[in-house]
Amino acid sequence: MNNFGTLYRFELKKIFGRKITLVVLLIMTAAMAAVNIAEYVAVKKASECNDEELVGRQLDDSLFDEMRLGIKPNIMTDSLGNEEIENVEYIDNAYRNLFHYLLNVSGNTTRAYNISEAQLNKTFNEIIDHAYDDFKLSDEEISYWEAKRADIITPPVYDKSAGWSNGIVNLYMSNFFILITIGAILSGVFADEYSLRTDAIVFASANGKKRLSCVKMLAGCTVGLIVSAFMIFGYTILEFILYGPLDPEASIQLTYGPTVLDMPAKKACLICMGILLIIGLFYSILTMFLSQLFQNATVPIAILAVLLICSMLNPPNSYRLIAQIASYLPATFPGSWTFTDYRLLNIFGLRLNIL
Amino acid sequence: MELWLNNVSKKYQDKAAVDKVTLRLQPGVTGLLGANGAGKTTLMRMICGILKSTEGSIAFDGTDVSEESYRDALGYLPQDFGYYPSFTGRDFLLYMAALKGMSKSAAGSRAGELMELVSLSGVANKKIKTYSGGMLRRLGIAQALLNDPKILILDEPTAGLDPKERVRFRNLIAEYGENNIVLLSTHIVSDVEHIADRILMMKDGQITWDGTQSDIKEDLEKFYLEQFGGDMDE
Repeated sequence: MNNFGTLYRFELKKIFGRKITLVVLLIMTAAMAAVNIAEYVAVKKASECNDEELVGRQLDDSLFDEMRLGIKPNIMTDSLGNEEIENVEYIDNAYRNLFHYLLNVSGNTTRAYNISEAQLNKTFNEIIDHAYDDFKLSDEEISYWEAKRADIITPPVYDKSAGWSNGIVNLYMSNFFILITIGAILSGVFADEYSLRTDAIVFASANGKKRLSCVKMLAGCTVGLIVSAFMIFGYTILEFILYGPLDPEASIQLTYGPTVLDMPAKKACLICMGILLIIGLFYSILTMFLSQLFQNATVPIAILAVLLICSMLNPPNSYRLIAQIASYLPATFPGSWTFTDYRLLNIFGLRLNIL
Repeated sequence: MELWLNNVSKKYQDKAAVDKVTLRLQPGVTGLLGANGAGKTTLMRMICGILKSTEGSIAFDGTDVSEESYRDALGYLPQDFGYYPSFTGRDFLLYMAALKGMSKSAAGSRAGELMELVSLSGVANKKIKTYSGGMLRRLGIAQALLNDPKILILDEPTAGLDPKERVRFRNLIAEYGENNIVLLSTHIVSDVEHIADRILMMKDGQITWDGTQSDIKEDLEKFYLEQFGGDMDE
């Protein structure tokens, strides 16, 4: 391709020569730093949990008995005389993350404190059965997942997993920042030629039509991928700083709660990162397509903002089709719920698990 | 060497901006005179392949306007010349040279040569946003000449140039037109008077007069006014 490299370099120069690019990158980097600092302050204690001795142990009754010795419940009595645990204090910090996990699964401080292995298994199954029901799964879908359910180990084995679970929450947040950043940076790739009135001389040149469009798309996609990778890195690096090297074998059951998917949290996190990179590429292509279609840099940003707002809408699962489509919106898609959404994608009779 | 416009029209809904224009242009400077709205810019944009004609065809030595090799032979300075504010003058020329398919080494030497020619070499490494109107026009002329085009289309090229620069520019165009096809649109009659080998007058999308300076017995400006019945901007 004639002068491909030179044109590519100049297109990158154009993108980074826009004032809005520098302003948005600065703001987004500052926002990323603020989120990381806030998380650092919030989870510092959890990261200092000395739970090395618990790693590898089954979540069984003997572990729960030990846990109860390591935490002190603050009991309150309601107007009917029923005793409930309001909160707990940690005598031994090693049980902090374990108790948090049980609290998330059981949804109640009293139940979490008094839990047994049998109750945990029951809750696990109830949550999965409820999800089948809530997502209005067909018999075919249920059989698909039941085959996988037989392989999961319940209750899970304890592992250091807080870093992975915080990482996926941050990845979800980074999606919004990727959307905003790419939208602002790439909205002018084609539109600026019209607003700067350079379209005439560009289109009158030998390489100014198809070839330049290809170069622009490639330069835009490169920037989109770099921005996505930068955001993904920026929003997950803190987990490694806080928690040290994360255990690659930590179970997804322990990280994101009960699910019939059997995979390590690391794999789940990598899947989310991969999906985010693809989504970053999708945002880039969509933004540049809109930039060319409307020959205006504002309209693509407005359309992406609508996409962002749509992703915040949460249609009830009883409207299966709408809810399932909404769950695939790029700004909604990768999150911890991705691993507990059992609705399969029916394409020409093939039932595909989106993961 | 011939640029052939065969029955070219451009219609916007019911209105014809250019109406069945047939022309054969050969090496030399052709001046295109007409008031604003006469269809000069639309005609030039069609010759440059930026606008598609509604009817008719445009070809250079048998190569259709839509082909890449046609644009290889083309140099264009539009009326409202746009630029990238963050680029330096030199970067801009190098970018345009890459768009025109020139090799890196040829682009570098030609850009330097043209910067010298249009007296911008002293500010070649300054950002274009700091250039004055006249400097921008000269940069526009330089980019149009980058690939030594066989067809040079200049839309109001002297707008914004001071009298000294205008004279210099006319000489440059006259010299360039000796071996290449130059179509120069303007409503400044004196620009055409000095350099055009052939003069076209355009009104309501049609070529209303086609001739040479020697065909006109009187002063060109007076003749032009007579042709257009005083329908001029200047």
